[in-house]
Amino acid sequence: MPRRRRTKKQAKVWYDVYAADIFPGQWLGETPASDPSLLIGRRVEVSLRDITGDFMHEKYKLWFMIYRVEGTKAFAKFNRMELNRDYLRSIVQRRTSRIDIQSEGVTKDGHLVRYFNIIITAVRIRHSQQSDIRKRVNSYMEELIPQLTLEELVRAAILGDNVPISSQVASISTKIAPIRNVEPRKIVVLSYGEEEPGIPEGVALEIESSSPGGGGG
Amino acid sequence: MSAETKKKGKIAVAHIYSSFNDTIVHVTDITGAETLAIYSGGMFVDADRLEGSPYAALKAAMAAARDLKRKGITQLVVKVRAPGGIKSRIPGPGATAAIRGLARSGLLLLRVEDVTPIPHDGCRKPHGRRGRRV
Repeated sequence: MPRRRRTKKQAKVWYDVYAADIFPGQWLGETPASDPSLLIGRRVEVSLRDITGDFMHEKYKLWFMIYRVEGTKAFAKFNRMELNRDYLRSIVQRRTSRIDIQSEGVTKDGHLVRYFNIIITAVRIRHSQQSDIRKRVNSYMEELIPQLTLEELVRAAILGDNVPISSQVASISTKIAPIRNVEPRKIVVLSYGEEEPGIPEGVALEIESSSPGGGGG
Repeated sequence: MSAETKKKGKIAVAHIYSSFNDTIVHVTDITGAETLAIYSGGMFVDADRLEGSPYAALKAAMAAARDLKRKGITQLVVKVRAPGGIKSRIPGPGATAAIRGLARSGLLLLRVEDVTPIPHDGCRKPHGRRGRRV
């Protein structure tokens, strides 16, 4: 019986992934695909340290989701942020309280997000104090989220731009109990609004002139 | 990723699953959607009991590294995991050997992290209060 001739596999093309928001035009990495439509919905994980170069940012991990492809360039929007597991384990200790607070809201640009704060106290505190802290922080966060766009919210959380969220949360809760640490543990986009981020300028020019080389940020 | 990182070549993610019975080295792109190389300890030894050994893991990692070089990948993010859940949360003997195998093949390791699945509150371990009696 003759062997079935194998159809030649088409080589996969590598696509450059760029961030469209938070760090517009930032190169995030490369991903291969046999068809550009397969790229939509893929998530790229990067450490904030890789972007800023600051070793203090090692503790933040960011996920960007690809939503648009132009030529061999793919554009990704912010999807998720999380605290590094090693760092989280290092700040949680015995004989102190760990308070987790989840706040949900719609940002100014219409994205539904959930923001997780983590508060570590200096000493172990009562449950009544914990729930009081949770209540106050929640009301602050629910007021704050609609005032900011998604980009502003994320940048405020991880870089402290415009609104120093963590120190605000600390000052609210320190009236009830002594606080040692406040961190944004997680930010998740539950559903996106209608508004999509455009193509960052630097990369857009590159596509027009189709010159080789990357954006860099 | 900085412009310098980009100049150094393509980045991939090595997912190393290491239990006491086997080591699996699975290399994907940064999104995890496309597999670039996959090898396990059992592909390099005959005896079942040696599948999880450091030697088999080293062989698997080196085979994966050879495939990666052919595909133009020079940098790796390593994610190590143990079985997790109700099983062991400590990576097996093959984990360190696999990492060493990747590094020794000339790949640049950007960071190594532990991604063992740990339940927030999981199922009860089997075999009752007194455990598995062997």
